[in-house]
Amino acid sequence: MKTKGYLVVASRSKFFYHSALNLIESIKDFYPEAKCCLVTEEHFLDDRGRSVADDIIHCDDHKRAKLWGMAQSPYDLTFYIDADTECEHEDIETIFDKFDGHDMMFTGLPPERHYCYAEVYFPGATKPDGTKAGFDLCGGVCLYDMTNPLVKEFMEDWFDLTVEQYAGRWWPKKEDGTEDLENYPASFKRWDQFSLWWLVNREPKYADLKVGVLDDDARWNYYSRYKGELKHNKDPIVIRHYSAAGAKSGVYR
Amino acid sequence: MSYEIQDNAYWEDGIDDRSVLKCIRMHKLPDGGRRKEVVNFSKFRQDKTPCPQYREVVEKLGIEKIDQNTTERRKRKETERKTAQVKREQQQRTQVLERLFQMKLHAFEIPEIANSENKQLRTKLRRAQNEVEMNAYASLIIGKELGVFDNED
Repeated sequence: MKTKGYLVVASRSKFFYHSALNLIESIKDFYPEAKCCLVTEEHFLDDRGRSVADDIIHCDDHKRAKLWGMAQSPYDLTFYIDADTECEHEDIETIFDKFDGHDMMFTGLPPERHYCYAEVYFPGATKPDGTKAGFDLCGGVCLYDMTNPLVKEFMEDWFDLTVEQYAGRWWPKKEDGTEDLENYPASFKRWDQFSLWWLVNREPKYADLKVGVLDDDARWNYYSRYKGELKHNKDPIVIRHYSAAGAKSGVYR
Repeated sequence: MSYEIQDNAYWEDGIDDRSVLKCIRMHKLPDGGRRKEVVNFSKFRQDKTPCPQYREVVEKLGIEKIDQNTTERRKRKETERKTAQVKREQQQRTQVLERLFQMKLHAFEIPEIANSENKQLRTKLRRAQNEVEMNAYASLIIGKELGVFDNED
């Protein structure tokens, strides 16, 4: 029997810490038996944090501690959720039934939702038939099976590659050894979605990894900026993502 | 004459009246460049004589074309107005949601609320749909924690 649990990472900002606790409590509002792991910096922890989280892992303040935390999950089947979110529906309990034969599941970035994202397309992602392409996975939530060693390795590689990318030590190269900025523009260096895209699409080691998009994915990571009238979700929203910068500013910085 | 009248002129004050038109004239400059001039012409000048520039545009494009431009422009503007309104309303809804979320996080930082073991009220506070509801539940939790309701009859 595989263990199941939710993983939330809160680092760098008090906003994310308080938001993470709120998220965990909101999950337990609908699914009291849920196991939740909080990955956070030790100095943030308080009594509330210790009481709401079933498992606590300390992390450092790296910008992408999230990716490090994902690789540390104590649960076989893990549903990672960004801290600046809230659970709104009892279906949160059913997420572990959604693998549908995959090793990892994300939410997608279909064209009808591109208005919400800063950058999507880049020349290096162009399909063999010439179709324009770019990011197609969103890392706001991720369902993954840690019993597959390749998945754990993927998570570790995602963090390592992102650290190198952010530090300016890694970027796709041209044949002459210089950075390939024509196919992979420099503006994409700030996205961990790029390292995710690279590992999924260009890293031979992970060619056999089954990576998919959740069915009715918008309900599992519904951005507050989504236009309601476009009806991106079919069934009720399970996870609402409060991603606007405004909510992260003020006293929390 | 060293300008060219663009073919997108329209009736400024409505297709039924046709008394004022708006057009763009592209002037050719001596250095080879071009200057854009947006102008309004009334059918009659202040001295009640016909305006030659108005007549020039009408003769060049024809009333039918200017009518068509006016209709298309009105439709486009109406669509743009509706789109902008929907966008504005959506932005406002998002801001309200984000603000409510942030206020709830603040509420849960208040020691009486953070340490309250009244799960029912904490859940009600978290699911509050607006600031009034949120404040009401926050007050209830704080009141209970401080024993405000203990001496009620």
